[in-house]
Parts: sequence; structure tokens; C-alpha cells
Amino acid sequence: MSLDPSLFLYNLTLLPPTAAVAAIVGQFLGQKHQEIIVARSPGVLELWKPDHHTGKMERVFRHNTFATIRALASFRLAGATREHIAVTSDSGHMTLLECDLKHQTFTQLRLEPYGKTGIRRLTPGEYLVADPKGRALMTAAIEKNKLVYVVNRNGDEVTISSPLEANRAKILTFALCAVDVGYENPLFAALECEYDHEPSSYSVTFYELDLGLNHVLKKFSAPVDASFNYLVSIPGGSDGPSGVLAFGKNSVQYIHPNNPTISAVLPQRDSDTYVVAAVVPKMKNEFFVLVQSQLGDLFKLTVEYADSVTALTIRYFDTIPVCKSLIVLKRGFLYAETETGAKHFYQFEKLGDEASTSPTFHPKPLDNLALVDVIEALNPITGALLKGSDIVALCGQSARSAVKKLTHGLEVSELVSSNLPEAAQRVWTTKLARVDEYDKYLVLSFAASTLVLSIGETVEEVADSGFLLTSPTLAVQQLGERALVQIHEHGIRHLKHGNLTEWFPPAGVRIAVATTTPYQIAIALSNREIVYFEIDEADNLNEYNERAEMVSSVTAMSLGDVAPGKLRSSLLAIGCDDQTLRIVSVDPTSTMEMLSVQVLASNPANLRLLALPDTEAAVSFTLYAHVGLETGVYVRTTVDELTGQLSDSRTYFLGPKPVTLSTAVVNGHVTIMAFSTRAWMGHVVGSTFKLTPLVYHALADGCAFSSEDCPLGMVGVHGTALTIFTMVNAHDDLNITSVPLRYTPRAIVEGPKSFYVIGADHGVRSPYQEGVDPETYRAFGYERKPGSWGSCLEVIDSETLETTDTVELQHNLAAFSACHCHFKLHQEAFLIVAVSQNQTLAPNSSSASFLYTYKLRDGKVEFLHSTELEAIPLAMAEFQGRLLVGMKDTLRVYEMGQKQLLRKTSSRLNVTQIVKLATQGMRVIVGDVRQSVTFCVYRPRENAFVAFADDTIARNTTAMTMLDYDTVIGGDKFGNVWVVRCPETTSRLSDDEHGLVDTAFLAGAPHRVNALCHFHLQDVPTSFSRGAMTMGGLETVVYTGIQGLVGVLAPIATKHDVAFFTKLETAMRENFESITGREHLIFRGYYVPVKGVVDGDLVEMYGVLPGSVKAKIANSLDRSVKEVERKVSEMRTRAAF
Amino acid sequence: MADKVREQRQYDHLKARHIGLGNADTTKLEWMSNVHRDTYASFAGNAALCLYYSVAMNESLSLTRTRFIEKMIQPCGPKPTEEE
Repeated sequence: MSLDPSLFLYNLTLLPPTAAVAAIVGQFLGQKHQEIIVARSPGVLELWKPDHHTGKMERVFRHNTFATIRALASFRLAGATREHIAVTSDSGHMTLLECDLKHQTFTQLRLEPYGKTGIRRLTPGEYLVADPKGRALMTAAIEKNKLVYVVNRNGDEVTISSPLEANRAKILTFALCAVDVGYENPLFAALECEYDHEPSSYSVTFYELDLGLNHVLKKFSAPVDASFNYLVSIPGGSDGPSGVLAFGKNSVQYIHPNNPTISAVLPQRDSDTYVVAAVVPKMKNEFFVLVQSQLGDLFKLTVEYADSVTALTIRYFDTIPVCKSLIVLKRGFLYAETETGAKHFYQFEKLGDEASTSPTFHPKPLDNLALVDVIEALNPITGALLKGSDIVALCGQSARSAVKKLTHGLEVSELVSSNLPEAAQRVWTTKLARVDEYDKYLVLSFAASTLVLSIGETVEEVADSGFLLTSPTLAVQQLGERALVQIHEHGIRHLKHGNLTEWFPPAGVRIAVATTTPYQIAIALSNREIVYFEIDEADNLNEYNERAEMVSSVTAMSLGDVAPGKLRSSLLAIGCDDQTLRIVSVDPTSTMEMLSVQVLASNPANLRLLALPDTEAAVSFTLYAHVGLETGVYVRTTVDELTGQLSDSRTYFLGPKPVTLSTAVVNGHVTIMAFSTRAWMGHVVGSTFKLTPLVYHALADGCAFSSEDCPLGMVGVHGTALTIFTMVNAHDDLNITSVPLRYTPRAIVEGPKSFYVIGADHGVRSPYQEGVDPETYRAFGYERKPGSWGSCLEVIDSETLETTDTVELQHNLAAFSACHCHFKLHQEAFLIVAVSQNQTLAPNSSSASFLYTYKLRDGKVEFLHSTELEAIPLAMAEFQGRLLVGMKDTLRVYEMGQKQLLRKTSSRLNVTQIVKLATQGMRVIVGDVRQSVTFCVYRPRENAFVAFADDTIARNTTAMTMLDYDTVIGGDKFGNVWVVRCPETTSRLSDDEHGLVDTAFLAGAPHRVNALCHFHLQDVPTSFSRGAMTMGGLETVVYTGIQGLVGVLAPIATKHDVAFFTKLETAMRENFESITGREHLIFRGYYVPVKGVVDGDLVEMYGVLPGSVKAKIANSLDRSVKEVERKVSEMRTRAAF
Repeated sequence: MADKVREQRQYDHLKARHIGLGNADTTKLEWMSNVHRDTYASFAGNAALCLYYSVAMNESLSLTRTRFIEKMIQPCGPKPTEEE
């Protein structure tokens, strides 16, 4: 890799993909409750904990394996108290894992290589199942290969045998399952097809692992018909009859080596029923099978058996979104890991035994299940654009589609909001005694007064609080056992058992700033003196006999929190108006001794000493001085707890207003709250500190609030309102607003005030002829009809996100691309939509194609005319005030006409199917479905497009955008992102009318583009947009992937940084091993070696490495650990959030 | 002669182990079928690709995957009947 390229990018994932590969259930933590492990597409493993009290799913932790996970299985070894996890990935290794709750990660137990890396036809890993008694694992490839592993236990150690082969040539495997045979020899069943002879024969084949002889043999094979696609095993041993259920088109068969086969018919809705998912819930003495059809209908299948199975009964159960995995928990919950869209969590209400067994049915609203939680998911993202720093993404499939606007920020759920007589400036909550569980008083400070409210069932004003109400308050604190203190400008009121003791500053001197802990008080007077108090056993205040005098006025102070088991905080942080932060000791041996000074960029407005955890697991903490500056900058400086030395400052710009600070507890973690023009929460995610804005009012101040109804809330003031709220989920720092769409969105176009979204669904009968209830279709999907299309154009207001107009396309038309085009001659913008009639996919054909022109009318569109074309254009763009159309291999320019669009020029290029177009000046970049990008230039004199440069690699372009006049970033179907640039000389020649030679070079354009960057995402990129994600941040490229991936590529600005990050990345590759044994360099260079991109996701893992490894890496870079961490975090804050 | 037989046997053995192995006598259909099978296996195995197709076809992901494996049976049509 050259270290001196002209462009170097830094990749950061903002939102990992939400499309699931597999989900498994088990007691992975060895505790009483069950957890769910979900593998998200490119190798993210997540542990979720369902809470059966609240009915919520909560993510415990997430781990990036930097590999493509192919299959998951859970198994419990005999006598073990917890389940282990078996994973197959594109590393070609079988990995056994266990959960480590303390470090919030997965630990690798075993790593056994079995085949080549990558996802190949013959490499096992596509299927993975575990014997129900946890004795063996079987993994299979799509073709031929099957391997069986014996797993066992040696003391606490998990052992795995060498694989036993069960290969059979010329067979394809459609499904695999482990048969429950109790404690007999483990048995596996595979749905296979022998393709060598004609006609090919399908069968369910049973493979037995003979534990005594240690080999695998084919035991039995039952022929099934060619429509079969799914297998599920049913309980055996003492729990049931054993055997498998095989599912095909409208039918199910019970197959067992020793029993006759029994068939039954699956109920049908309006098309054939295929089973795509199943789960077997086991109760005490019975079980049933819940299967799901490709339309989402659930059927309850009961197996009647005595000695052997006698009958299968099938009843319609409910309809939920189509799932990849269904999981039933012991507590009566169903987790639906959906194929697309939000994940659902249901509770069983009843078991649907009274439903009819008729062979046809109509879907009905949820009856047996009740939806209790929805986990938002973006997949599939079919397109996106940036609106300011918000991402507007096209998400979802068919009737469950939506436009989703992603705003960076935490969602807040408001509990109470009430009006105050005037605008409050500060707010505190306090207990009355140390033993109080909840807060009792809510104290508000106004410009010239104070208000005390009691917290209980209702919030009421307290008249006899003993507080001075005619002056604004500086601090409120519950002291010692039962005392309470109010500090105001003119003194300290110390209330103990109803007795009031007062302390006054010298005459003519005010108290400027105050800070407290439950045992200490420090105040700064207007004469620059610091007075320090501590309490004794009887809760009396004792003033320290010396006052420290500062060199300039004090603007902020903080004592910090008292660590559990300690009597005092030994450090006092003081902010002075000479732009300094000073740390003073308040330890009894060295009281008021100045320990350290740090110069700040401006005067501190607010200060707080607060220890934050180093990682999300909260194993260790570091003390920080959090400083809010008057200029709206927030500074976080590390403080040495013993020496008070300050180091490692990080700055964040929050908004043009002084920053006020506070603390809160969110999801069990201590967080710092900062209030400027927006409210921000600073918390640790993984191992990095993140500042996230709240999607809420601009709060002036806030603090933690704890009452019986709301133990972990926040109270805040903004304007004349007082609000109590909770942070819903600190994990999801993107707030999503969505607008439902009718059909799978194909493209989004931005107009001046609106978004225009076109959608088209294949194989459905459109119900939108007259008034219909879209909710019904969102739940059950559209009626299926082969060859039919449902398609529409929707207009969405870009500010309010409301659908302002919908145009349903009739006559079996489907829209595939759209363009907002301003025609120069007409001085008017139109919306052009490319539609095709009777479109068939594979093979691609249609009876006619048109360009529909719409006039834009204030949130509405009005059909103007249609223009017939020979083929459907998949890409359009505005070009020189006219419309540029990319149709098959032809570039065409249209001018607006009275009756139709007027063809102005047409040029054929040496490409297959144009799918993307980008233009700048006279230059047009053509993205082709399989021939990468071609640079073309328009020659006005010849009225033609001339291709002058193309690519050396045939890429299947899916998304593309221009970075500058010569540079293009694009993505392909195989999950690669690449940047190509036209050489400078070629670029100059192309702009010169006579510069280009038209001779083809090696059957392509006369010149070639250079590849600058190449990177593998393992997700198909669907959009690239340029923009800054943060206030004053770098301009980055934001990309989305079909599986729900959202990430940014940020340019690394200096050679110095390029060298640093590449060195760090190399060191990380050596020191951070993927738990699945995948080599990072190979993973990111899956198809083409990585070039010019540093994987920020890997670099950020630096924070979770053990201290000694961190130090080793930092040493090799000639830097300190802190410096490295700081660089990494700075890069993150500049590029994204 | 014996060498040729041995060579052939060795080739058959290797071919059984390494599917897709070819020699001068490999027919176009055989070669094409092999390439297509690799492609379809990749479509079925790569989750992102499979989802991409399933969204385009408006079909369940799992059925799209099954279709791809089905296509591996005879990706380029049946063997032509012997033309003498």
C-alpha cells in the first residue's frame, strides 16, 4: 500500500446493519433467564436480554467480529449450566464462543479450520446445527460437503474433535436440521437434491454419527418432491416422537427412519404456501410447531402420536412480518427476527386451539399474539440522501416501506411538563436525609427568587422548607445524615432537624460560586476568596481556618462526587476568569494547596469533576474535569485522582451559548449532561466517549430526578417550562422519524420543498384503486399476482415529512427511476418518471416504456405528457438545462416539448445497461450495471457524447456519486466501495475540443481511470451522499447499504495523519484478533485488495485492548497511549458523531 | 496405454475431489454450468446479495435463496441429446 496517495479515507460505521443472519436462544450467561444472540450481517454479534416484566428487549452488548458470519448454533454440553455458541464464518473456521458478561464480549473457546476462506459453494459453514443434547455439531456446504464435529467437555474446558466427513458428490443441500433422538447416536437430517441424473431427485437424508465407532454414515433417505425447501425437527426421546417435518409447496411431510411418512396440506391464502421459518415451543408435556409462510402467516401444527405419529393438524395462527428466525422464550414470548424492517417481540395470549383447520383462510389481526416491543431496523435501505446533517433513507420492502429521517440525537420521552411563573435558571433535586431512596425537594432558582417544590404523588409548592425564597439559589445539598443546606448569594442556610444555622460572608461581599458534596461545601466569594467547610459527625458545619485567595474572580467550581466508602472528595476544581482551570487540594494534610493549572480557550462558565467509566462494561473509571466554556465549547480533561495533575484535554463544540453541566444516570451508566443551544449527553459507548444531542428542547439546566414512579429520570427547565423526562435508550443515538410508503421504494429525488419517491412492487395486485385502509396491507401484505405490478409516485414535504400527494400508476406500469429536472428554455422544473409496462424480471422484458412528465404544483404533481421510448431508462439526470437519460447502452438528451419530450441527441456507448448518471459541466459519468464507470464528454459541435476514459475492473455499479470533477466514488453489488479518478492529463484533454483521440484502446475507451481507494463493506452500497455530519465537521461521504448499514468515509487530511493511522491500523491488525479467526486485511480486501482506506472501526477497537497491548502499540508508534486514544477520538468527532 | 488409463483414473479421482476441475475434453456446457453454480452459490450464501435480489423481486429472502440453489441443479439447461 502506497503511503502517499492523493486521497486517503477513514471508514467509520455509524449504524451497523440490522439484517439478521441468524438468531439463537439459550442461557448464555449461565443465569436463570434466557438471552438471545443475533448475528447481524457482516459479523456483528449482539446479545439481547428480554425482560419478561416490562416486555422489552434490551441489548446487553455488541461485538464486531470483522468477518462474515454465516451460521450460528447454540449447544449445551451435558452437565453444563450455560449454552455455548458455535459460529461458522467466511474465515473457514468453526468457532466456539462463550459470553463474557463482565467484559461485555464474546470469548473464543475453540477455533477449528475446516475449509477455504470466503463464501464458496463447497466450503462448509452455510448450515450449522447442533445435536439437541449438545454432543455433536454438523456443518454443511451448499454442495457436497458435510462435516460433523463431536463436542465434549474436559473439566471446564470445551473440546472439539477433528471433523468427520459425510461428503456426497453432486448433491445440493437446501436445509439441515439435527434430529432429536434423546441419548441415542446423534442424527442429522438434510434436505438434498442429487443433480447428476435426470430428473434430479430430492430427498430427506439422515446421517447418523456413530459415537462408538466415531464415524458418520448415511442412515436413511426418504424421497420428497421437488418443491421442498424447509426442514424442522420435532422433539424426541422422552418429549415426543422424534423425526423431522419437511415442508414443500402447500404440503408438509412427517419423516422418520422407522415410521411411515405422513403428509398433510398447508392452508393457503391467495397463493401457494411455502414455509420459511419455524419454531418448536415445548411446554411441560407437550409441544407444537409454529411455522411461518413466505407471506408471514403463522400456522400452528400439532403432531398426534402414540407409539408413532398418526396425524398432523394445521391451524392458522396469526400473521406477523416474515422472519429469518422465530424464537420462543420459556416465559411465553415470541421474538420475531424479521427478514426486513423492524424486529418484533410478542407475547402469547393464547394458543389458538379453537381455530379451524380449513385448507384456506383469510388473515386476521393479531389474536393469539400481542405485540409488546418493536425494535427499529432500517434494512433494507434502497436509497438515501443527505438533508443538512440528517439522513433521509428509503427503507423497507413492499407494504412495510417507509421514508425514514435519521437525526443524530437521543430520543427523550417526556413524562410531565408544566409551566412556571417565569424562566428558571437553575434546577436541583435533593433528598432530605441520607437514607431517602428518592428525591424529596425540587428547587428552582429564578432571576431573583427561589421556589421549592415537594416531590411525591403530586408536585406541590413547599412553604415551610426553611429556604430563603427571596434570593436566587447557588446550590442545594443534602448534608451528612439529615441536614440540608441552601447556598444563596448572601449566605449559607444550614437546616438540621428543623433548626436553622446561618453563615454570612463579610459585609459587602457576595458568594459568587458554590459547590458541595454530602460532606463538604466550598464557596467562592466575590473578593476572590475560597471558603471551605466540612461537616462533623453531628452534621455541624466547620469552616476551615484558612481561606485561599485566587488571582482572579472565580466563575465555576466543583468538588466532584465522593467515592463510596470515602468521607470527602480530595480535589476542588476552580475555574477563574483568567481563562484557567485550577485544581486545589482539600485533603486534610494539604488543604488549599494548588495542585495544577490549565489554561483554557476562554472563561469557564461551568465545571464538574466526574469520573466516567473507561468502557461500557464499567470495570474501571477515570476522573475528568468537565468544563463548560462561555464560548459554547465543552472541554474534558483527565485529572489524576492522587496528584490532581491535568492532562489529555478533548474539546467539543456544542453551540454558540455558554455550557452548563449536570450529571444523570442513563441505562445504569453515569453520564455528563451539557446544556448549550441544545442539550447533550456525554456517555461511553463501547470504549469511546460520545457526546450525543437530545432530540428535545434547548434546556437551560437539568439534573437527575428520582421518584417512585420514575427512579432514573431527569428534570429540566427551558423557557418558562419545567419538564420531567427519561432517556429512552442511550444505545440508539439516531432518532428516526418515518413516513409510510405504499411500495418498495426505488428512488428518491429532492425538489425545492419536497421529496419525490417512486415505488414499485413486483407480483402484487394493487389495491389502491379506491379508498382502502393501508394499515391492513401493512400487516398482511398485498395480494399476490404473478406478472402484476403495484407502483406509485409519492410526494413528501421535506420539512414536515407528510405525504402531500400520491399518484398510483395504472395499466400495470412500474416506475424505476425519476429525475427533478429544470429545463433552461422553459425556466421551469419538472419531475420526470421512467415507467415500463408489463415488466418482467429475469428475463428482463416489457411491452412498452415511457417517460412521464409531471408539473410541480406546491406539494402536488400534475401529469403533463408521456414520451414513449424503446427501453426503460434506469438513470436520469439534469444536464445543461435539459434532461439526460441513460437507457440500456444509450445516452440521450431530451428537451421539453408541448406534447412530449423532444429528443435532441443520442449516443451509444460501449456499455451494457446504464444504471447511474452523474454530471458536472460537459462531463457525464456513466455507471454501468456490470462495466464500472465510464467518463464521457458532450461535444456540442458533433452533438454527441464521447467516452474518453473507463475502468480496468468490471464492477457491477449499484451506487455512485462524483467527489469532484475528476473523481468518482461508487459501490458494487459485491459490497465494495471504490474511488476512481481520471488522470489529470486525460481530464485536460477531454475539455479541449480537439484534445481527444478517438481511437479505442484495448476494446475500451482511449484512456483508463486510476483506482485510488478500494474497500470491502460486506453490504451492497445503495447510496453515497456528500456532506458534514457534525457542526463544523469535515465534509464526508455518507453511505448506506441494503442491509441497513450507514457509515461515513472521511478524508484523512494530512500525510502525517495518514502515516499515523495506517501504522495504527497495521498494529491493530496484528494485535486485535477477530474471534472468528478472520484476517482483517483479507476481510476488507475480499474481492480487491484494500487500498487507500483505513478501517476506523478496527482502529477504534484500540480502546478495548488490554492496557499492556495498548502500551505496546503506542510505543511502536512513538506515542503515549493517551495520545493515540486522543487522535482516534478526534478523528471520530471531526468526521461523525 | 496403461499410463493413459492411470492418468484418466487420477484425473477422475481429482475431479471427484475438486469439483470444477477441467481438461481439454471439458464441454462448454460443463464449464458454463460450473461457473453458474459458483455464481448462484455466492448469491445464496452472501446475505447482502441475496437480500438485494429479494427486495428487487419482492419475494421472501428465504425463498429467493432456495430459488438460487434450485437454479444450481441445471444452471444452463439440460445436457443436449447426443448428436451423431
